[in-house]
Amino acid sequence: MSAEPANSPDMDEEAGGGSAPLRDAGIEVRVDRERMWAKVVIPAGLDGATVTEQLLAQYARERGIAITSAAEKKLTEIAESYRAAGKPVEEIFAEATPPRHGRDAGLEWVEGFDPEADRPVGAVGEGERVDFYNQVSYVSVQPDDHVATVVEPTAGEDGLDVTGAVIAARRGKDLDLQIDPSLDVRPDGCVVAKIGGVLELKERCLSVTRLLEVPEHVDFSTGNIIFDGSVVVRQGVRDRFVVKASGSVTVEGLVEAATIISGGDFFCRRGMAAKDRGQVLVDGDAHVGYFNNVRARVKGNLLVRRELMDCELVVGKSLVCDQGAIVGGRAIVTGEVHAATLGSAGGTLTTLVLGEVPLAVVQLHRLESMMREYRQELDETTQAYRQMSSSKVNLRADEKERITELGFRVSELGRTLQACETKREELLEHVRQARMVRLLVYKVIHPRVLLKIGGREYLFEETVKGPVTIGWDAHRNVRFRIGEGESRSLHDITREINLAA
Amino acid sequence: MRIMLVDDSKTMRNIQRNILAQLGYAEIEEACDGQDALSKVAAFKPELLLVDWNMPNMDGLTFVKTYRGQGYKTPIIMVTTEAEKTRVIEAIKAGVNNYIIKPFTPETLSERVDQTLARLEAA
Repeated sequence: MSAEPANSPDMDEEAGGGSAPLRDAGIEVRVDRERMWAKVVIPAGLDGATVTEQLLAQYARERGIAITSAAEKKLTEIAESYRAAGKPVEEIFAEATPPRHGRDAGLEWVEGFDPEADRPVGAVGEGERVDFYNQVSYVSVQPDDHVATVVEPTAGEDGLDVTGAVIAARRGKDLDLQIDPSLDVRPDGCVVAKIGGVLELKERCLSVTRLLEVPEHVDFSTGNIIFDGSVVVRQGVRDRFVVKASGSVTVEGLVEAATIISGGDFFCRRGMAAKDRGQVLVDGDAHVGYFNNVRARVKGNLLVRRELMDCELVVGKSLVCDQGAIVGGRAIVTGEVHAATLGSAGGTLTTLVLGEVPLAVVQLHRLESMMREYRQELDETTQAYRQMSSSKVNLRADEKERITELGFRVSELGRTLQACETKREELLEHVRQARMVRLLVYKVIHPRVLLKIGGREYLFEETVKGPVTIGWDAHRNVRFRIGEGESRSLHDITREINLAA
Repeated sequence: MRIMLVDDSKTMRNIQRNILAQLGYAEIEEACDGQDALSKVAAFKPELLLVDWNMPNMDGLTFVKTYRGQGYKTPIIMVTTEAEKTRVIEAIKAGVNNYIIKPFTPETLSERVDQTLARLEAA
């Protein structure tokens, strides 16, 4: 687009938009505050012969508008129309070209390699269900696989306002993602795996973790599996065997009374029947068909398709068994609990501990124990340091060095304790923030379900039909609601047990 | 900045290394006596030396004299238990730029290092 240079006698005046009535004719040129459009206003009753495109263009120029060929053409049309009809006119004759902002950098996935493509929606909220039937547990890559291409950000295209001034385009943002050394980013932007394994996108970092596939069972033919990477077991895991991986663990078949330790997520397609001997330790989320007599600590979410039976569980985030039952055993859960059924018609004692942050509390206890040891060492070292420093006797060279060493140790311990104290404050704050009580039972709560909340115990003695929601109110009183009914005290449907008794 | 620590006591070298690490100096080389230090200076090219006095094989003073005799102008801080005035003067005459008397605190070491480097820059 060509633009005549604009005369802009006083642009500050135009910054507020509006118009300036011109000297004789009553013809106005108005400019938008953002200078995105300019319009001409011609009242009725003027001599058509005097309303020419040149006059209109002159008035426009005096207002600082750049007269492009498009604007000129439009002014000609307006003038002709006025001369023909004589009716008042208020029409836009010039419009700005908005900038085209740059595109942010990103990754274009090669088909089949998007690590997040088939994952279920992670968030669990009221009325939502987690669909983990259709998930794919991992994306497998081989060395030299081209998994994605880095698309560079673009600068965008500047625009022009009606005065011909540049409206700067915003440059696209750089890639907000780290690419691990297990992947190579080539000069042409291709992201290529350097090793074979599992492609993972976690916490804005793309990486390949190594993958071990066990084609059949983990049993006497394989021995225990201890692997730096992710593990997939195509069949099951037999009694007493161990599968330990720094990455995720996927078991397609049944897990018996074994030990599973996963630094990432745990996928157990069928379930686990641990006969009180098996245990599971998962740093990420666990997705299982069922758990029977399992002791498990899951730092993330525990998602169960069918049931939990007689388990001892510690769950760092939420426990979701919204199509199944939680029967027997005890579960300490930091986040929400969703279940179709709680307890059993036979009255199996089922305990849920809510509003606790057990994993953080364990960390806190460990830290406080360490701090006590450091304080003791600091006291002893400070005493020894003061004793030696205040000695009036001429010190030998080695004694002087010993004093330096003690002084340094005192300084070090002070710094360490300071760091521990900061960490302790962070943990305490985390515990304060993370405490929550939210239990949703969709079908029924049976008798002998015991809820432990904030040091109090609430025993269900009658069947309660769902959907039931139980949680804290603003004052941390425990209340419940059935369906959309009114909120009531949990005491209305439970008996509070005296802890002393 | 490359710093060489010359001291026969591993404990003292560790303390100095830790203090220097807290100050942001990570490129450190160690030597257990004057002889060891002389064998390493050409390759390592230190920009500052912390030298003990009383060491086996070659003591700190002899090392400083030999080192300066080879034409090196790198700043040297003597870190030693020797506190007598005559000894301090002897060390300065040999070419030492600054002096720390043991026992010292981490703050003292930090101040002397900063002081020595500041003087070097001013010069």
